[in-house]
Amino acid sequence: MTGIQEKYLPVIGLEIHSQLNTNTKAFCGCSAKHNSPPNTNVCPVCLGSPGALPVLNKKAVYLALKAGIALNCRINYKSVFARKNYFYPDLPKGYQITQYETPLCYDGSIEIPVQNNLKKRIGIERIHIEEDAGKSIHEISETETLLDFNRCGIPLIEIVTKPEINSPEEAAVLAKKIRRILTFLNICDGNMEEGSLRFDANISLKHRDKKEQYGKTEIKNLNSFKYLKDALNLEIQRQKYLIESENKIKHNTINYDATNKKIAVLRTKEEEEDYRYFPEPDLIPLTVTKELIAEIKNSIQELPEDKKERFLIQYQIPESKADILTRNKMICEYFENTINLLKIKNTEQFKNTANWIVREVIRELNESISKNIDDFPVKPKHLSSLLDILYTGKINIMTAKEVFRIMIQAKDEKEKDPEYIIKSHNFYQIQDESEIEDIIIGILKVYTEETNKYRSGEHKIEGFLIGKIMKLTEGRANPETVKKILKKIVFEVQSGI
Amino acid sequence: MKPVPRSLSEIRDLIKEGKITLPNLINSCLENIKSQKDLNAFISVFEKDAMQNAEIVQKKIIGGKAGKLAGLVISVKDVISVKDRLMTCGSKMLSNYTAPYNATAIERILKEDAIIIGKTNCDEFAMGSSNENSYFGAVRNPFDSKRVPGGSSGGSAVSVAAGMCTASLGSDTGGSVRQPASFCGITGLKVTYGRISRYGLTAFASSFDSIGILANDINDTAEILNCISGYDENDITSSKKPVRDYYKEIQKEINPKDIIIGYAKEAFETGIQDEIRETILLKLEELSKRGYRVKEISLPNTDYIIPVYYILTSAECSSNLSRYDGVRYGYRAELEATDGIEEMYTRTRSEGFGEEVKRRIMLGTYVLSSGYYEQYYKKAQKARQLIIKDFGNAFKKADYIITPTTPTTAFKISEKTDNPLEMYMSDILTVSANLAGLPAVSIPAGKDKNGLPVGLQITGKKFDEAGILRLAKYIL
Ligand SMILES: [Zn+2]
Repeated sequence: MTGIQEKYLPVIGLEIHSQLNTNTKAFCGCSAKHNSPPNTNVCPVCLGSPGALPVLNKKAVYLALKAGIALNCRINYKSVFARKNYFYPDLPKGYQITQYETPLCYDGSIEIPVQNNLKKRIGIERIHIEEDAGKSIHEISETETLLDFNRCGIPLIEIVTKPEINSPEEAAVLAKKIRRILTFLNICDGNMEEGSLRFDANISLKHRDKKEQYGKTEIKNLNSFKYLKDALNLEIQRQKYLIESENKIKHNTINYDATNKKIAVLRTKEEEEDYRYFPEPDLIPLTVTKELIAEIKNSIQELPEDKKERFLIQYQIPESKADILTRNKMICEYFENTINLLKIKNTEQFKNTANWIVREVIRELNESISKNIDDFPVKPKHLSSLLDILYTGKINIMTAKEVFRIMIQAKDEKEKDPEYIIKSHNFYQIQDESEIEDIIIGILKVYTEETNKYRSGEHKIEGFLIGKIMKLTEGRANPETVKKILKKIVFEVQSGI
Repeated sequence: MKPVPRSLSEIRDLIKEGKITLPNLINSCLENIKSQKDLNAFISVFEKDAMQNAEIVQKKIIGGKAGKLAGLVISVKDVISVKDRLMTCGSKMLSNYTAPYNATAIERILKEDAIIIGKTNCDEFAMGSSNENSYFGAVRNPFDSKRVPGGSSGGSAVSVAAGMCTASLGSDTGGSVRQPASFCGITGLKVTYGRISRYGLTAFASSFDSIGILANDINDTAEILNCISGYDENDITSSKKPVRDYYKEIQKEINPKDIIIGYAKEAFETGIQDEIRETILLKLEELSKRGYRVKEISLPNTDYIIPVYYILTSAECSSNLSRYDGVRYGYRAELEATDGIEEMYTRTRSEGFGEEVKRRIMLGTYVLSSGYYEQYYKKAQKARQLIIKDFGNAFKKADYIITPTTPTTAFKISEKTDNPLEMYMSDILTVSANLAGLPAVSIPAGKDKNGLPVGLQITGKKFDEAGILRLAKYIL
């Protein structure tokens, strides 16, 4: 494998198709929701009924521009939609509305990490808006193809990189980074299994010494980073074999079969269709204003990578936590809002906050119906106050988790307040050590046999005894304090127990 | 033929005076449709609904709560969507297709209480100049049933001229409203591109298509235009320019001295029937005598008009008609179990479309294909800009341009069917308004020696519908 890459340098470009996070489709008012019953999100426009006309979704333009700005593109203040003509059953108009000669965004770039802590800049050729096609379903009937047009007309952007990627690994790193930016900025939900994000890759090999560049092929429709990498590796091997044996590569379209880990040639260039692009006469040219671009620039501020770097330095939280917290812009905001509301601000508290959000909040969120943190019942205001109370030692971690659960279920603002919950449930930790002593003495009297075993060196009994004590205090004692006093009573005092 | 009132104002008066009722009128129209079935003007007639609606609207009129178009009996070219009604587009391809929604123009006339009497015959997908390209058979001219009524809105023109209704909505991509209006002796208005929403108008050539109005009386044209024009959020190419009260505008006095009429000499040159040339020149002379300033203007790129028009409209049509593939609706060829998707497409489209439509799809596919796009499509787009510029220059010198509407009066059925190029030349005087997106109206100007109507065309500046209609009213 490495041998091949030494003799031949892979030259790879990616086309990334990303559905845009809009409520409605690109050119009609139909819902863009996934997983609706077949053919329920359809209308005359997206079904291509005679006389229906497209009307451009402004939100799609906004999101496409956001992607363009995040990927450092230049923007065409006036771009043109075009028709790409071809016949396919899931394409109801017989053409796809896309952009051809003048895309919305062009000439951008993105940096990816490479070996030795270096960074490599990869050019973005263009980003354009287009509409998705419907789905052909072959699995249900043996003799008929069924069609679901719910997906038809959902807005997409196609991000086309320059052929400046030189290994399958680089391709996967780049794809991951772009996915992260798209999901972080809420441009795309990034769901690759459902096809919200999918990749085409074009690849050719270049002889390192002879500088000769061989023919290019295209691998279509890859919907995971692993498939992208695996398919590219297989295609590199195939091309290498062809170069060595025939000294030429035909311009083929390649399909990757993920189940069998195989690639197959779909069609050759000669068989490829002529798409007869021409400007879409049903839409006027798309114009964007400088003000809109400024507004979007303002809204982006920091990209995930930059945020992560800042979190590491400013809050000194572990990288693994920073990584999770910067996957989603709203979680980022939730984290920082909580931090800002803390009364006790130190690195330990920052770590506690990061831990709590990663372990408790995100876990709860994943189990809830709305995965949106904005809908999460516990807001930064109350979480910060819970974390402050925990820090002062008035409650222990177990109690804090219990309080947190009550906060989630609480109905009104007052009932969500951790102070109120702790008071009304009498959750405060027992601060008075003599009170704890009395309880311990009581327990040891009941479990004399166990106490003797513990004293004679059976250390595992300790947990059992602490458990009993905690149960009696309803968790209100600090386990560390309990342990300390227990040891003192059993091993030092030697009172007549 | 039963006599029916010619105009909406007559209908209103007669109803007010109690001399007719709306159901009576509908009855007469339906009788005229039946008694002149040989003209083949209609593809579907809404007998029952028209009658029911007539009774409702009649009550509204008496109650003083009727809409602006109450009393109007209107037919609709079968390329415009009327909800839950067949919309065949004159094609076998859509012979079983029911429209799922109303076109915006239809919504707007229905809101004003117009009564739709039926859907009219037309050339298949509005492609033709004689109405001989209909799957439902040729339409005949009421002045001479051996002759064509013009096309593609032939059925619409005949329905108005032969007393089957008061007005009709047609579509005009290269003269399809004006040319049949001219052949049938009525008024036909093609509006500025974007003045009337295209939503619900089956696309032939999107950047040329516009809904047009055919009527006996120019006042009716103005009143209907008042209701159907104006911005529509469903058609992004429709204009946000405010709608004027066209009816009021055309009642205003004209001071002839304020108006310069352009006389385009190219339009009177080769291929124009002598009687047409004489009739129009005579009209110009009359106008001049009445004080109008008539000035010669030039449209130097006239030779490009027909080739540019056919390249661009065919290109757009080849794409617009791709949706008729047998997959979701319309005609689907009967297939063998072994046939694949390719066979379904090929056979469905070969069997479902007529000759003229196929000719244009092939021409359009060709001019858009790689290697020819630059040579044909792009070049034609540039030439279109030159033609637009010509008009820009002409309208610096003149307010209106007067030409004949057609080079000949109605020709005989089958006369030109074997010669598409000759057929295309019959659009020479009308297509330029579509190329430049300008408003133009055809009005009856006289008759030739066979008693066939001659049409006069007034072309105006963009969005000057009021101006061309006012001048038309004056000439009439
Ligand atoms: Zn839709």
